[in-house]
Amino acid sequence: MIDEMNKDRGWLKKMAAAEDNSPISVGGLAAELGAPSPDEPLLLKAIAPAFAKLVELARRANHLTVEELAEKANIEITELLAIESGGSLDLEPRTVFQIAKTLKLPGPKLLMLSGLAKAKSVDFDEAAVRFAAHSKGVEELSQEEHEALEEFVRYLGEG
Amino acid sequence: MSEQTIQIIDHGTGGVVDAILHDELDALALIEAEKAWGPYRIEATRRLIKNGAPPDEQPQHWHWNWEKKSSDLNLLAYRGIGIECEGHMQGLMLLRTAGTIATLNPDVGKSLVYVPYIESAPWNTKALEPHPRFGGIGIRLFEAAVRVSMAEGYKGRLGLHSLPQAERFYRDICKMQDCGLDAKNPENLRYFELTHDASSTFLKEA
Repeated sequence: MIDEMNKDRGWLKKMAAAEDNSPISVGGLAAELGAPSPDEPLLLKAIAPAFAKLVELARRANHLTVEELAEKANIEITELLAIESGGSLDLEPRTVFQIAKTLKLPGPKLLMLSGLAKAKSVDFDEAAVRFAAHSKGVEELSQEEHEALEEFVRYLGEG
Repeated sequence: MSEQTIQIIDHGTGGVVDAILHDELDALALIEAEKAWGPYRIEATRRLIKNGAPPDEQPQHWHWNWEKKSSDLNLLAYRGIGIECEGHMQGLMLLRTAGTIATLNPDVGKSLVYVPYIESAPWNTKALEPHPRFGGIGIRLFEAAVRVSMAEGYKGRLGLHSLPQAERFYRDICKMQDCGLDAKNPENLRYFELTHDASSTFLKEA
């Protein structure tokens, strides 16, 4: 049982006006539930942009909107938005495989890229980072992005 | 379960309206309430996409479908808080009342209440809803967290890792001290703490 909450309406109005229905989200629970081991964050940070960019570019190359891909892959639109913004915290393997299947990308490699499975070589990490560095957030795929996408998808398909 | 009547802002009338503060909410009940917000979030997402909002400008927590992993939680370690009005939860919060230690002087080494989860209902969030239904949800939940800390014998000490979009709320409105980026936090978030002295000031004004 806690003490009685403040009854002062003037204070409430002042504080609510300052709050202005702005976000109040915190990140603790995400860390507690899905906390990577101490040596994982750097690796995840390096690879996450590549995963986000690959999904975004492959979606655009397939002329799909976020909504359309979410519907075709049967995943939540919020998950896809989070993936493309590089911020997904609780990805399920199923989500990654659904995306891979819909966009015709190699599922196991995409799983590595998503951080859900460990990359087996330094080459993989380097290729992922190189790919992320070459892509930019524009509406249409530039020639450079097309080439980066094709090269990286080719690499993912090897071995 | 313990509850009391509180007031929140009704944006429909511009005045205040009574609500119920549940301060010993069962964590499973809290998870169920959070799940009920899902369809509204998805609809709001669709609207924003249609209006051209890029993903990186949208609220950061949407993807956090933590209900999926609720089985991993030791729910007994958490205390749930909810604000109910018009038959729906308008805001939810989880508090962990053991295992976190204060880092700021003069409270270093003393236990505090850690806030791992706090949200307003999506229809009360400006980023999702241009005309939010109720206001003051965040400040009421924060006040409740301070009072829980008092009730637990932690003298109002609180700690949390704020998402970037919420930093202004905790720093400028709740007057928590910004302890900077926490290198140990897997999401690289800033850690905020409320000392005993700062909580006393907050409660005097509240």
